[in-house]
Amino acid sequence: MNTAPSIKTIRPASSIIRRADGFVIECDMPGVSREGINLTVEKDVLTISGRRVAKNRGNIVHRESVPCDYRRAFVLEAAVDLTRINARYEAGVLRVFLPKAEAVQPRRIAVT
Amino acid sequence: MSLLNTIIPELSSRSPYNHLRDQLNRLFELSASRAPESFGDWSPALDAFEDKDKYVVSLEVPGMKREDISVTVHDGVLTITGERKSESDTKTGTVHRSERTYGKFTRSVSLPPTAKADQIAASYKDGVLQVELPKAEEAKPKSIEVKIS
Repeated sequence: MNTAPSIKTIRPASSIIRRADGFVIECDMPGVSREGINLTVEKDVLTISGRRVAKNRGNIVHRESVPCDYRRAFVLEAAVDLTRINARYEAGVLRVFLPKAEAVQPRRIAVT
Repeated sequence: MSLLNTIIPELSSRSPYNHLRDQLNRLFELSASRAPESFGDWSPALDAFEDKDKYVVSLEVPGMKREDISVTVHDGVLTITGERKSESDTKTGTVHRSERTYGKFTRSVSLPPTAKADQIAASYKDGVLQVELPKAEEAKPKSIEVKIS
């Protein structure tokens, strides 16, 4: 009766914020441990995946959460400096910072 | 006593329909009295589990601070409330795309009478709130050894 459906992945709810110095991607990935997160960049595609911690908490009485791993890909702008991408995971939210290459950052030019 | 059992007495124990009947009864019970309620700006996903010792309710609320979550039990109803505030990043830049939900939520679940509310415990890890209530002794399954003579 309670056979698990075949494992697929779901796209984590995400926000993209543009800042002067780069972009921030925030992904809601509740139920994932830091070790279960994988970030890869291949050419101009950033792929985020998160493996849910499988927990046996007893018989399911009611379920609304989706028992799937997370996976989502983002195409990056050419302005992103791929060598300086960094990420932080806290309280179920993955926050990836994609800095713009120095050459494309806005620069104030002093007028003398 | 289920309705089916009184109308069709032959469907009593060991009938192949028993399993189905139990499932149906459970479904109606769940929707009538146990279905979790939700109010607020967003409705975080709620799961409920039970094992032989305890009831577990878990709620997916990523990006919260512990102090912004409140767990209460009143008249046999477990209520979890909280508010997710938008982070500083969304204020310092231009939001391109926003799928994440912010704001207040309230989720309530009727607890079985055998849940010991005075021994409730809650933890918050990896964006999931987990509330545990031990079961009263009489609700735990017991095995009785029967000697066969």
